[in-house]
Amino acid sequence: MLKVTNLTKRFGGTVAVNQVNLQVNKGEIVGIIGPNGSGKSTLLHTITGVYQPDEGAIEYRNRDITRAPLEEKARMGIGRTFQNLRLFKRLTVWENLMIPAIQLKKDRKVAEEEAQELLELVKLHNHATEQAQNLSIGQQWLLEFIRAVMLNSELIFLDEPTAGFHPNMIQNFLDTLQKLHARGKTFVMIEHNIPAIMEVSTRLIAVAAGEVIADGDPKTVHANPQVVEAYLG
Amino acid sequence: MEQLDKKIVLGLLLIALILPLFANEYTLHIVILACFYVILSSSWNLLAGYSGQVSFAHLALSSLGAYTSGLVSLKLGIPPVFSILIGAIAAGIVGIIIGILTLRMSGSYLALTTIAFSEIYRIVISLEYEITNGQVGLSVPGLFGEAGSKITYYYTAIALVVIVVFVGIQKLVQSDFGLTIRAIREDETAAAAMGAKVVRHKVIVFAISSAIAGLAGAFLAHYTLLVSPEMATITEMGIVISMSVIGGLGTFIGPILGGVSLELISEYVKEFGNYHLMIFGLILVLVMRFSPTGLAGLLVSLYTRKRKAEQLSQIRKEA
Repeated sequence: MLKVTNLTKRFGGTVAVNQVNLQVNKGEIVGIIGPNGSGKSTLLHTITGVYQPDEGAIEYRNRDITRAPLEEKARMGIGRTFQNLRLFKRLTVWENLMIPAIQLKKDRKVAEEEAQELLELVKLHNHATEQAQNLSIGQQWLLEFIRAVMLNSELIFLDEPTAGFHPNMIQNFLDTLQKLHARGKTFVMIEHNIPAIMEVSTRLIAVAAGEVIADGDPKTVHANPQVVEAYLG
Repeated sequence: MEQLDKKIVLGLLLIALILPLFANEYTLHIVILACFYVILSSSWNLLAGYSGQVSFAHLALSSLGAYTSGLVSLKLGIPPVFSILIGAIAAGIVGIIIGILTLRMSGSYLALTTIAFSEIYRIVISLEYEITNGQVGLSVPGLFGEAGSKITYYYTAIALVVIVVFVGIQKLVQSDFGLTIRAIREDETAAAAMGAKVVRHKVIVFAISSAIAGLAGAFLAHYTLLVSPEMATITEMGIVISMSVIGGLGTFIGPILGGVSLELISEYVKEFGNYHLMIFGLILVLVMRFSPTGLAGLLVSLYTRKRKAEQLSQIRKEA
């Protein structure tokens, strides 16, 4: 589904992402772990088009999307959330969900049914007319999550999703993620919460100093001495 | 909120309808000027309030519409009713060009660039005597001839323009396009991540807003029968920004409240010369301190309080 080859992103003299190769197959939940500053978010920004890569190639469904801007990648079905919430705060919950539908010129009735169903899935249906900024942080995160789904995204990148949740709500989020996964969505999830990512991911990629240091079965990667070394220093 | 907006609009429409029956020539003149500012602040509100782009080139674009219309009617003999539209289109086209050049900029960079454009434009038209007649200004034909005898015609025409502009902007803001520009105002990166073509939307809004400014400027030129560089000063721009902010930026009714109230106030305080700007500044500070959402926000909170009190007394009665 997604193939990243020798991807490199530099900021001045700092190499934030260094010759990264990875592949995401349809139906996977790929977890990306790594210590702070290891380049996980930069990797995500570079793949999704927030940053332009300095080297390397990105293919999505056998199409070269290396230089495609953020909005074009979004229209191709690559959705994403942000580490720091980026909702349209003064718009209502409902309006937030309609924005991707409008850009894709979805049939209004279909979009409304879809939005209603997603709101019920994350239990925000009673908040549809509220401004997004009036929701709790956890609710805002859920809204950002389903807003990415509204984009008809088949591949969704999640940047540290559980950081926004009260511990009691993390399980609800993981259940929602798995329900959407069961409907055919593919996820790539950067996460620091190791128990959470171990629970849902079908594959784990470990990143350190901008490079992929392990890629494979979650338990194997988690136990990899190089990964342990990267985390413990 | 919408109910209150409708009530205010209906009230203003009613006043507008009966005004020519009792108002004298001078009062109608003031109302025509107020309408000019309402159009300008509405279009600036579309740009800054709804799409989040703070431009200081609005009055320069209004002046460009005025000069274009004036020159086209003078040199080519095109009737002002058509030259005004040509002026609006010219301002819209220049708006697109400025938009394309600047809209990857945001915040203070956009503001500074538009100030620079505005000042360069003003200096050029002030120094150019061959075409614009420099500081003296350009005498242009009237839309209906001399204003004095036909002031009711001018009043009716600008009132119709205000209604068309106002309804048009509202329809635009409430459309899918409008929702997208409000999303872009909130967060450009997130809007792009949702598939929005950010630059294209911003350029379109800039062009529409510029065309409306050009329309207002062109109309004023063919009412006052004069176009001068005075219209494009930063001071005038400040007045329009004050009107938008005092009325309530990003609100439906704000530009009307701001435009009408400040124009009326300026008539009372104009005897103080340039000190009237100090009074505007003071009002701006007071409004920002006590009602950051402007007069529109103040009215909404008073209206909501009244509605709540009515509902409470109804509940008490029923109990």
